[in-house]
Amino acid sequence: MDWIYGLVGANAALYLLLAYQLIHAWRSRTRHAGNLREAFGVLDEEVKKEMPSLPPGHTWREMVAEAKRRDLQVDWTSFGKSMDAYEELRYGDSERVAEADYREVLSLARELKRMK
Amino acid sequence: MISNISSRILDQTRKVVVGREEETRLILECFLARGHVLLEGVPGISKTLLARAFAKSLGLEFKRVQFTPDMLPLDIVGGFVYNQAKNSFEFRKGPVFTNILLADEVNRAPPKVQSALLEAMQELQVTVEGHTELLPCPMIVLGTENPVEFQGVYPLPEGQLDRFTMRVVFSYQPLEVETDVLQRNLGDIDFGAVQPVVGLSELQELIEEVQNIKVTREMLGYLAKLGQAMRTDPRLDLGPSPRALVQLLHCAQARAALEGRSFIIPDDIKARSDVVLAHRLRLTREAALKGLAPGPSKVIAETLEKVEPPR
Repeated sequence: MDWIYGLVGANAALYLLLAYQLIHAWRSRTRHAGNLREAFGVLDEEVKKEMPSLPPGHTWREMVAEAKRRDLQVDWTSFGKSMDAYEELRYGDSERVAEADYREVLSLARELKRMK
Repeated sequence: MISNISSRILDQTRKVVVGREEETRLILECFLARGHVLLEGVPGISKTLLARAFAKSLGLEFKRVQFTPDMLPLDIVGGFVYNQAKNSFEFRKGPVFTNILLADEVNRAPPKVQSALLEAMQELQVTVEGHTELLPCPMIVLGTENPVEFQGVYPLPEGQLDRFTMRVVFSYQPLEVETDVLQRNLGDIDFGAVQPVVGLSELQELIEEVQNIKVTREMLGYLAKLGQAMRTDPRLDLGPSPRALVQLLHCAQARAALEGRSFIIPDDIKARSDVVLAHRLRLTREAALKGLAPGPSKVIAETLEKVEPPR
């Protein structure tokens, strides 16, 4: 009979592990972003949720300064390029940078979620 | 072109002034924003030295006037003098007709003189007995003020403080820098080493470049929201005037240009809010008695934290 209990225990552990991984994957999911502007929209939502210490009047640069103090797996050079492009798009009305790479922006959003 | 002007000027001013890089940058920004600066600090803290070095590095005409309680408006703006040869009166220009005027201890002059100077700063022209003369362009007044002296001074009223675009506070330097200052002063200061690095036409182009820095309507809205939030703050008797906000906008444009951007970002506005607004705001008596330190700066900082910028 012991082996049955052992099997039930192993099954329970396996299902728990599966459930944990599903929850983790669901929590770590990042909304889809089709362009640079949307990617920063996703990031803004994550920042508001995951960095409550930032005041409502924070700017992107202040957020980056704060995020860099955390142990996040982000390529800050690539992120910096994306942010420069976004600033040009957002505050300079320059559409020529709309196609800039935004993968690191989504990475930062994911990392902020992961660090919670 | 504009982004390296700051380093070119700093290279020159460093030859005679130790430290004070941030103050130099602020004066340059204000100059490019077509404003005037109030330099505040105790005596002997290199305000005048920096002003002279700054003027020389720009290669512009520089005049210094020591303000005293017995001055008359004519001593600043000029006036009519009799020319015996021509048997007529002719206008003799006062020291305000220059590109960079150092108005030393501006609060020592009586209100009439302060008023004459500040009108000239605002209008960039002088009118004496119906005769109008335009001031040179560009023109900046660097007024100095000693914050700890109260005897024999006429504090600038709010309306006149509002004419100064920025107030730059000169604090004591850190220990290491002060040691360098002493080291530098073991010998004579060689002003001849400071060379002009920008020409007049180039400066005029730079000023035009600053005026063309892009500002979106949303950024204007953000600035207006900041102004309104401060005006309705119960701790303030007097909030920022529309002129103050306009000058903050111009300084933000100058900062953006010096950083090599062709548009302003919220950080430009936030970075210059204190130097542009703090000297114009007045705390209520209650807030002052509660010791809201260091004055309106705290209100400005809290407002910047509350008002959401365009993101």
